[in-house]
Amino acid sequence: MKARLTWIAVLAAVTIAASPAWSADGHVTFGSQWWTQNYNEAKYQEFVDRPKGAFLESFLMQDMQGPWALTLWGANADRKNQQYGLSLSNGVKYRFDFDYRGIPHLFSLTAKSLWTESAPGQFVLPDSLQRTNQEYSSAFGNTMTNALLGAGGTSLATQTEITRGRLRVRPAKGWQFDLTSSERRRTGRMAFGATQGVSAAYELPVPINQRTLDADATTTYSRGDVRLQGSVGLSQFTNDITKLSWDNPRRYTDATGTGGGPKTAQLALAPDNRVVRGLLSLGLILPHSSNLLASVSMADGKQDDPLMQFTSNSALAQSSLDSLPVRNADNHMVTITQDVRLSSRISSRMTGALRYHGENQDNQSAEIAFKGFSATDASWSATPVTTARHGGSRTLLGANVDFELMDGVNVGLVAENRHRELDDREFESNNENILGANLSVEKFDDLSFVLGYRLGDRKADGFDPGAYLYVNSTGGISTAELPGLRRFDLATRKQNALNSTLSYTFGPKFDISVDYTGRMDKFDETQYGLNKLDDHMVVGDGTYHMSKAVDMSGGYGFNQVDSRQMGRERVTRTGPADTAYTDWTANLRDRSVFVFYRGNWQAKKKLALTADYTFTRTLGTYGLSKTISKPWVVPGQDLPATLYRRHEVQLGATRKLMNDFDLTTRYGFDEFDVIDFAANNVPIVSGTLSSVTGIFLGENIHSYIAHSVALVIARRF
Amino acid sequence: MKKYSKLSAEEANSACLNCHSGGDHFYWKSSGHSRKNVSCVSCHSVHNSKDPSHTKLLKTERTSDLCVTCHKSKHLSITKSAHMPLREGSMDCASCHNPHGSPADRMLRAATVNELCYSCHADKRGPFLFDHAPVRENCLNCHEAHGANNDKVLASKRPYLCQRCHTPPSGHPSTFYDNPDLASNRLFNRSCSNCHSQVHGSNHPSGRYFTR
Repeated sequence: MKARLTWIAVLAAVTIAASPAWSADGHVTFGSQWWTQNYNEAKYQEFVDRPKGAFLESFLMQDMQGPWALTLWGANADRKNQQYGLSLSNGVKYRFDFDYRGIPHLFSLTAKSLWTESAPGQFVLPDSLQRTNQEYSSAFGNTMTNALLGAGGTSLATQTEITRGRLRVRPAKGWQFDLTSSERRRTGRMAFGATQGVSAAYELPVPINQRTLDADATTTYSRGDVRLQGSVGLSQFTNDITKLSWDNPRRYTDATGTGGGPKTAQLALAPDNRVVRGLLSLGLILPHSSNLLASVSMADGKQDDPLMQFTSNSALAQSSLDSLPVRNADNHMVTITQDVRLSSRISSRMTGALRYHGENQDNQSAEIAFKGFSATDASWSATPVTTARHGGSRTLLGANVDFELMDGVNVGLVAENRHRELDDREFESNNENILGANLSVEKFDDLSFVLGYRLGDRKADGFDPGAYLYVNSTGGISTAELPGLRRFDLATRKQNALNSTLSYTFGPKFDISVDYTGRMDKFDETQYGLNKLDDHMVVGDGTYHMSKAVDMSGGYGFNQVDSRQMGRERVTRTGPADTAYTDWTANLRDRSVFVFYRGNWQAKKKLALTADYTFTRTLGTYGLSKTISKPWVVPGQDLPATLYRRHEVQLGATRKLMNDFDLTTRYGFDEFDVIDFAANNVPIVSGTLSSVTGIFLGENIHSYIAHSVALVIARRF
Repeated sequence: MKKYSKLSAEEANSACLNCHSGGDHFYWKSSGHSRKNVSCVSCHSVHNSKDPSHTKLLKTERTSDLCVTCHKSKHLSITKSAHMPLREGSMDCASCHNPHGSPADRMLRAATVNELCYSCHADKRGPFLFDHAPVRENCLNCHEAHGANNDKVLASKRPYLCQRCHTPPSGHPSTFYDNPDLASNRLFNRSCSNCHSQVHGSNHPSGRYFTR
């Protein structure tokens, strides 16, 4: 239905445009494409629906004559990534915009699953299979492997469709009203983990049917030195599938104890939620070229879905809803932010700015005490659990001053204080002081240079060791985390950040620019967890106008991210108690290289050639090792490196057939190489036949080479 | 008649701001671009726009192509293997950032990072019965929004990402997963998330470990 409407809309637009009665201009581009891939790898069409055969690439129709201006445009018609838009305006007074876009996300074309979906979110297995596995549990591996030979393939992909409308009205000088509305609908399937225990990781092609509706009304008043804006809005998220249930391949009847489990397990998918929001902003132009902006916003979010029972295993007493202390989630979060910025020209050579930001996350959710839980539906843990109410507040106070030393040479200083108060975390607060300086030189017409540096010193306060402890099922105290762990999002940290850009123009033909950004984080008080994170990036690009007929541009980029973290694992051995553990270190490194080239050649008056090349390569290494070397410590063995590499080439030749007609032939080449131990050879049945640890969808990522050839006509009118 | 290429940024912008000072342009005067003397004509061309709809009047076909001429580091980031669909044209820089300014850091289109992410990923908004603290704190604790070398645009490969924060004295969360564990269901595929799939938060009464 949608495709038919699309074609009708497009044909109507083109017909109207071509009609002499209509004074529109624009273009339409269409053609035919063929492509091939040596392996059916989803990555080639991850976010793009590549046409095979005839396609309508784009169209634009504009009529700007008369009091009303109309623009109608579209791209990738009748493809999953199609986009359309309409804009209708009457001078500056009225304007209506509408657009629709589809965003595909293709994950895998090679997944297969033994489960069949009997109803949305409900996955079943043949009773005979469950009965056989329950009765002959030692043959589970063989039984499942044989059963999976006949498993059906399932495509894993989602489709997001976004429809937006905006009405803008300017009824009088200084006034503007905006009404915006959007609907985002997401459907499809994704791989999702559904565990039955530490050695029973199952993966299912979970269906998705979600919708988010947003609506906002904004009023702006702007007159002279005063600007005022107010906005109210609403966002409603609805999930048509909030429960996932799946048959347990090992059980036909509910049981507890060794080998126990439910016949059918279940988990809760994303709940419906709603946010009401508001924003008020004031802008004032003040004397001495000063500008004040103050904003306050509020977002009130609620989620109150009914709760499922503790467990679906009827052999456990807690399988009834009556075991729950409450029946609804009753979750509520209110976030209020305030921003004030004052900027001013202090003197003819000096400008400055002050900034305040405040943010308060008030988690008003009910604190619910549960008497225990059943993490995998096989057994009941009487460990009491109380829900946490994470939230807190943030404040930022900042000042910067820029001084023009001489024409084209500026220096600046920055000072900031960032303070965070935390609810229900292991730290009460943290406080960061930041100092920075920058220099910019734009003294010469052809040279510019920018250098900036910032040092941030963050201290975490009020560490509560009790946050790493919990009451266990026997009423005693157990340790959840090692006392030496410090979580990087809050921990004490020193951060050095450096950025620099150098640009030079060699006459009218050649310009080049190099940019460096670096950030180095050190967590000195962290014994376990992230100790260090360094991120360095250099990107350079240039443009060469070789002649009137030839233009080239290209660039190179390099990025290296290094992180070091430490952990400690318990080892099984006999011996002194202080050797029951061994520390380990991971020195992860990601190295990315990026090269691009673009060339245009007007070979003849009516012939233009284009060439595009992009290369990306990432190498990931892990640097795993045990921190101590002892006879009883098995040394660490590093993981194999992971590699992602891609070459993309696009060549085009465009021949002007007539004044308004162009014919383009295109050739595309895409080579994708991947070596990733986690993604290349994911087994469908993991573990061994006698000790199966999981059943997966087998959605591996595979290298491929693809070619495409297209013939495209562009008609302008 | 004015020759815009010879005017200062402030002078060039004053003509545009006569009409374009409301809606998305409200915060222009205090924006980072304004402070850096970026002018309207740096990005927009009234007479020769190249964007497909001709409604934004941009100098390039895609918004992202324009942004990366100055923000070069992001040019590399968006080409990494795990990315949001900017290169493919389904999103652009202006989907998340308002180049004309906003009250938030980095000119985000929402008051906080999380509120911005929830505008598309509302399924993560919750609040959940069992919230995962770093998720509530900031989505960027685990994700690199501009592009990453790990699936789901994660900042680091699992399980090491999770082990930055989880080191219990016993049990598998702090286990050293190295080469002999290549066949372990805690290392391949989604690693920890093979079982702990509800990592953004769980609304199930037994969801404290994000397995339900």
